[in-house]
Amino acid sequence: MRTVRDIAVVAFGQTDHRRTSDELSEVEMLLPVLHDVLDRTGLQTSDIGFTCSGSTDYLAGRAFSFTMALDGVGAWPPISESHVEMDGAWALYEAWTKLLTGDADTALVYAYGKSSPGSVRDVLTRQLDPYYVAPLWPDSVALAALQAQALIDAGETDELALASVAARSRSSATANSHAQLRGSVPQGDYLVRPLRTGDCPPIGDGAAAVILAAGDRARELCERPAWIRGIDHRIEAHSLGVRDLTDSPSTRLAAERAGAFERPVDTAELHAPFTSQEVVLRKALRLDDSVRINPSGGALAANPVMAAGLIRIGEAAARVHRGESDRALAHATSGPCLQQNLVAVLEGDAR
Amino acid sequence: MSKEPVAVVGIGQTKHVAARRDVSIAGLVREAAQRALEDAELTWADIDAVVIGKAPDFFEGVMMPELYLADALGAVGKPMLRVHTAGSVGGSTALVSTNLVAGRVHGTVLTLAYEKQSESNAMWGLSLPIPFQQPLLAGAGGFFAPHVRAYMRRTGAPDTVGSLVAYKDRRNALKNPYAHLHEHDITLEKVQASPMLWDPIRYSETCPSSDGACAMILTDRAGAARSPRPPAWMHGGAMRSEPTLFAGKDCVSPQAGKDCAADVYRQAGIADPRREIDAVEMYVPFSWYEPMWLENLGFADEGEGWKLTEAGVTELEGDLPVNMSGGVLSTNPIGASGMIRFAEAALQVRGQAGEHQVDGARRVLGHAYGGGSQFFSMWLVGAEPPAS
Amino acid sequence: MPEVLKAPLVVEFPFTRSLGPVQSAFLTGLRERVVLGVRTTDGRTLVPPVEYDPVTADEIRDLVEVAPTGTVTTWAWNHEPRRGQPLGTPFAWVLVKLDGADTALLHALDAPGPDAVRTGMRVRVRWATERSGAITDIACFEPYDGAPGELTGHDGRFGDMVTGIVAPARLDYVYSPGRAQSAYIASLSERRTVGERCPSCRKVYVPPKGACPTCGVATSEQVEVGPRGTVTTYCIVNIKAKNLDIEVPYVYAHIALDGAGLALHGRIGGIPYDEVRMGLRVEPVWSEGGRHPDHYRPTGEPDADYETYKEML
Repeated sequence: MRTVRDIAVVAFGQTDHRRTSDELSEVEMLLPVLHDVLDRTGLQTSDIGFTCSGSTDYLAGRAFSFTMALDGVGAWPPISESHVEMDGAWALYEAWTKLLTGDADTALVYAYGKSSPGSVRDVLTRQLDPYYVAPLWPDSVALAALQAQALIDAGETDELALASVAARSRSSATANSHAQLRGSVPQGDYLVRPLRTGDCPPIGDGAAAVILAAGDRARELCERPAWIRGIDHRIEAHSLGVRDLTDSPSTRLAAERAGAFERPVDTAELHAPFTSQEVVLRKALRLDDSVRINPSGGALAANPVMAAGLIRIGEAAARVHRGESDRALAHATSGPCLQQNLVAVLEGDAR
Repeated sequence: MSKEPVAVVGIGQTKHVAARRDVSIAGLVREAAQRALEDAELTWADIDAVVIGKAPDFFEGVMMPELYLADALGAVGKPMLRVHTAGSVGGSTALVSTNLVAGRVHGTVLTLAYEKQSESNAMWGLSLPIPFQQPLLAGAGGFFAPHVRAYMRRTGAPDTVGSLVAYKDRRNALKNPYAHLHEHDITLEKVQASPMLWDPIRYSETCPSSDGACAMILTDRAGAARSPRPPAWMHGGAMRSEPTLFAGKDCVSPQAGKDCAADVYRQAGIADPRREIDAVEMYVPFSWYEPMWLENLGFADEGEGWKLTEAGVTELEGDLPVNMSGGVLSTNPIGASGMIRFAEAALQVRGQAGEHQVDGARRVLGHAYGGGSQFFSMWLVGAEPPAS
Repeated sequence: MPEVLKAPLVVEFPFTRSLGPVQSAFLTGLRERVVLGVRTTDGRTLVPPVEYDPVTADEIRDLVEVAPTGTVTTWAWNHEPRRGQPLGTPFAWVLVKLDGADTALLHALDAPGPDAVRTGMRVRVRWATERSGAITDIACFEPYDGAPGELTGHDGRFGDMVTGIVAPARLDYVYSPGRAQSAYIASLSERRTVGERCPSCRKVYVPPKGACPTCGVATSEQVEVGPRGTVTTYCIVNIKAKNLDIEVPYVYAHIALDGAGLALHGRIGGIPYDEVRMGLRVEPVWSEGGRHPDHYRPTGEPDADYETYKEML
């Protein structure tokens, strides 16, 4: 993928992800994370060229909730700003396009989600076809379970293999102080068969922020910027009944367009809230055992809805910053059973 | 490194009405998108990406509806983005799409905004209960009326100005086949005799609640060269935001609006907007916002906006026509209202506005705002490609 | 840390959805116990019928009948049904490819247990006793051991077409306002209005949000403001809103409490509505058990000079 400007992730911050944060409003939860990424770069709000966020009103039941979150940014004097009703990974994508135009050299991207006020399994049913599907209230775990069974029927996985994905993720998360589920977590009973509680993400609240910068600005702000070599996203048909649930053609296409297959990556942060979805993604992204998958623990260790995709990009970038990765893939998803997928390829300069 | 110029080569709207009972949500957006494609003489396969916007998801009770609408908008296998910046969203959605072209990510983009308000009730959607907060109001009129009173106090504008705007916009709407309200028997007396809802705002000075969608096809120079009809070229575009409420906020003439306009004029090389801009489609949901925005956007000095309205300058035949389409006062599918402003501005410079065409319109401003007068998005389009 | 405030928040609305021709025919068909699909331009049959081809984006309207019997393509056992789901007893979610269809329909399968369900099993529609033209006219699927069901020969044209559905949706939340607003609410219960001062710009925010919106920093220093204040601007509300127990006309005002950096919103009483004016000096009137001041009334002081509050408009 060739772009007109080199753009990098230069800072990443996130909250500790917890089952509930009811002592904090959304802006109170978000504020420390915004300060964290600004502090890491030494930037102030007034230095930021563009700001973009991702969130959804439905999660906490508050219309226009993003307008209240803006109070944490310090939007004065007025700022160039936008919002997507999508995971923050797509807010990062919008910011990336803004930087490409040359209108801005730096961007602040943030996302937050509080699942604790509602029942996220039921809330997500409101994403579904409002005529034929939403009236049946099929919850997000049920839909993922249909996908998992399709994978088992196709011989692509089994319950034991899924359990090992869960165990590996939570074991990796022991090194991630922000994670909600860490270490040895029982695989548990069926939630919706064939998925057990261990196959499903924890429900919780959290926020994350990233700073992007272009060209030399990135080198000034970060010792080892995580250059976005490519980023692309694709959507599939909405109805589960017209899709092959064992595959993710949109992920594969996004990865191709992002240049992911041009050279192997050493690390991949995959936004797979369910163990079975990691199976689908590994296949679509052609990731073999040489690739370190979800060293952060992934969405199985912490899944603040609307921020979890941005966190994948942030975690991948942070490994590049720390010199733990030279070429990392980050993935984000949205919609039932991986309907929409984003892939970014991040690289560090040669050491 | 310079930006790729961005052209509008296709525009489509639905006939806006109170309730489109004959179509699904998908059917509504599809109709606008199809018309934009036909205008550009393109097919679904020519579209590289789709950017969609709407106001709160609670309005239709569909969370992140772009997921369900992917099929109807031919987005399967393509990138699809969903923007939400409150009332300014229609404008912001268009601007996000222009970045894709200007940054050379994609060649041709479909951008679309909609609201199907008949699925629920705008009053409900805008006034969800919030525990521990004292319910004092419902709907937007009461929220904005105190700001109108502040404007009147600040400028000494006579209290008839609001009715002049409403009378003008409703007459303009009669020349726009897509407008929601077609009040053939409208008179100034009727506007002035309509009930006072949120004093100083009268019923006839408020916007309706509509079902509608608006779509545009944006493309690069190569795409514009293939366009069967004259394109509209973007000469400047910007978004600005400020907090909802803060100490020192000017609710009458917010700084974010001034800064946004200044950025657009800078990009477009406009030194004197009053002389160099031929017409404006601005977001006026309550009639008094016309004189307020005339000042905020730099078309009049502070305190003088109402004089332009009163002198007839903003009439269709005036020196600076405002809301030739009939504006938000005549058509308000909330999420789409901003994009309709942008699209109507483009129609004018393409010379395709039909009966509400301003003769010789070469440079026209499209404007949208939202939230507590805090989110602004604007673009300036021209008949000629931008000088680079 | 003080106790966290919480309250239930119910978001509920009966959405009225118009259907368009294809969905209208499908749901009317269900009412008449006929299952319709739609044929794509390349000859596939999609069930349930969608309005736009997911592959080609074509608008498609060519309705064809398919059988009420079919084959399970995947399933998931739901041992704990949730509110609104098709069955109240444990059931399987299934994707079913109906005989004659090329795509699968999502619904519930009534089966005795997970051991009775497998991919590839044959099922048939169990019709709801009372049908209105909705996806729930299919009560669920049930195991079926037989040949493809008979077609009725229907062409999708019905008298009395269903053109819309009402889709009630209720979501229950527990709302908590966070630290700063909880403290504000707690002080109100002592009939005091306490804001927070920004450590950077020194402005006092009432109600406090926990962050200074212009400086983007956390606020914590508590400052009592008022009780008196000045009406900066207002409107007279003449229309009665549903669920709002206030007699019209009434005055909705922006009130800058003495010491506050910006105005809050309240109702003005104790004075005829048409005598309220900008600059009026007011004070809160509390009602027994009310969480907020019921309204603000004139103090009798001279009106504030416009110059003293014009920056708060």
